[in-house]
Amino acid sequence: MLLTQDKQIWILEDDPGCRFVYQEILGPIYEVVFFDALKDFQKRLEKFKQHHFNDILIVADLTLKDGHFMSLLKDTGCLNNKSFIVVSSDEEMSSIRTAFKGGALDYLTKPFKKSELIVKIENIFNQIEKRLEREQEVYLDGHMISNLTGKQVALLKLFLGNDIREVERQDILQNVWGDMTVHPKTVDVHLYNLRRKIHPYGYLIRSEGGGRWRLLSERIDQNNS
Amino acid sequence: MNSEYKHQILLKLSLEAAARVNHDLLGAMHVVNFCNDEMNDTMNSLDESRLRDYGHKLSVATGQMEQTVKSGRILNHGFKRLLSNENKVLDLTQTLEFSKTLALIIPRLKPDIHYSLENSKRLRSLSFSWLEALCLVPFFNWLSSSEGQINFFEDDSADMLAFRVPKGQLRTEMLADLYLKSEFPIANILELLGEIQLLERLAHGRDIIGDLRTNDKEDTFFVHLNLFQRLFA
Repeated sequence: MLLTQDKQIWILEDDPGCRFVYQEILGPIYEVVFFDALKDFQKRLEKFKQHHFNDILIVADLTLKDGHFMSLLKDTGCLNNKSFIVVSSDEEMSSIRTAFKGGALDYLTKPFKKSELIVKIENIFNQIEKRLEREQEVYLDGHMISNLTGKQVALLKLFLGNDIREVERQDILQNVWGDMTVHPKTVDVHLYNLRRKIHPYGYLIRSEGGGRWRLLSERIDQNNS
Repeated sequence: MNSEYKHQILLKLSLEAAARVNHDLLGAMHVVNFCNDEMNDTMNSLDESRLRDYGHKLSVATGQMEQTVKSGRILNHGFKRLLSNENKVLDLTQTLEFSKTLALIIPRLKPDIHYSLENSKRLRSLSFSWLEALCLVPFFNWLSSSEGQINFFEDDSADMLAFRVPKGQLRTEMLADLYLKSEFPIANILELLGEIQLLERLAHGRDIIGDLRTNDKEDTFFVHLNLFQRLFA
C-alpha cells in the first residue's frame, strides 16, 4: 500500500493496545499522530489554528484519561470546521447522537474491522476533496470571502451583479437554481448560511420585505441609514 | 441527606464505573481480535519478529481482559452493596481493594498499583463502610505517583497504618488537588454526599494522611484510620 504522505490522522486514544492497532492499520498509509490526553490534543489544535485541516482527519475515542472527548464538542468550539470521526466502545444512542450533532462524520464501535476503518477514512478524504472542488472564493469590496459553497457563490454574485446590491426571490430561483419549484425555505436557509459567512467581514443581508433582500456593509450603510 | 438523592449519585457513579470497565474490556478485546485476524490471515506473510510482536500484544491484551473482568467483579460487588445501603461490612483488605480498583478505573490510571498489607491483629479487626471506602479512592490516585510495591503496616509508635516510599516520590501537598479539585469525579461525589469537611481534612489537615518520618532513602507516611472513621459523617 502506498503511503499517503500528504494526509495526517490525529488519533486520540489512551489505550496502548488500541494505539498499536491503529499504527498497524493506518501507519502504512497515513502519517499518524497520537494523543493520549485531551490536554495535549488541545495544545496541538492551538498550534495548528491557522491550518485549513483539509488534509487532517481526527479519530477520537470518547473516554480519555483526562476527560471526555464530548466535552470538546460541548464546551469549546475548537472542533469547528475540522473533520473527525468517533471510535468508541460506547454504543448508547445518546452518545452517537451527540457525536453526530457535534459534527462527527462517522461513529464506529470497538471492536471494528480493519477494512471498515480504512474504507471509511478513504471515503472521508474523498468527500473532503470533492467539497474543496465545490468550494470557491469571491471578492467582496476587496475582501476575499472563502469557504463558500457553489450555491453561496452564485447567490453572492447575484447581489454583486447590480448597483444597489438588491435581489428578489424570483431572481434567486431563476439564477441560482434555474428551477422555480424550489421550496421557499431552501432559499431562506442558503441566505442564512451566506449571512453567517459574510458577517465576519462586516456585511449583512437585510430583508427589504416583499421577497427582496439587500447586501449591505455594516460599517458604511448602517451609519448612513 | 435525602436518601433518594444519595442513591441517584451512587447510581450515576456505578454506571460510570460500568461504562469504564466496558470500555477497557472492549479495548483489550479489540487488540485480541486484531492480532488474531492478522496472525491467521494467510495473505499476510509475517516474518518471525512480526509474529512475536503480535503474540506479545495478544498476551498483554488477554492479561488486560482478565484484569478488567476481575476489576468489574469487585466493583459490581461493591456498588451492589453501596446502592443497598449496607454498612460496616468491609475489612481493611476489602476496603483497600475496592478503593484501588475504583481509582484504576476513575480516573483512568495505568498500570496497576501494587501493595501488600501486614497481617496484624489490630488491622484485621478494623471494619469500614462502603462509603468510607469511596473516600480512599483519591488516596490511591495519590499513591499511583510512586513506583514499586507499597507495603502497608501497623506503625509501632502510633495507632496508624503506615507505608514507606522511596524519598521524594510523594508529597502530601498533592492530596489537595486530588481531594478538592473538581476534575476528579470521586471528590465531586464525596462533596455531593456531604463529606466536605472530611475532604478538607484529608486534603489539608495532615492529621488523617501525613508525613510520619523521613530518612536519606525513604519517606514514611501515615493514614490515621481511626480519626478518619471518627470524622466520617
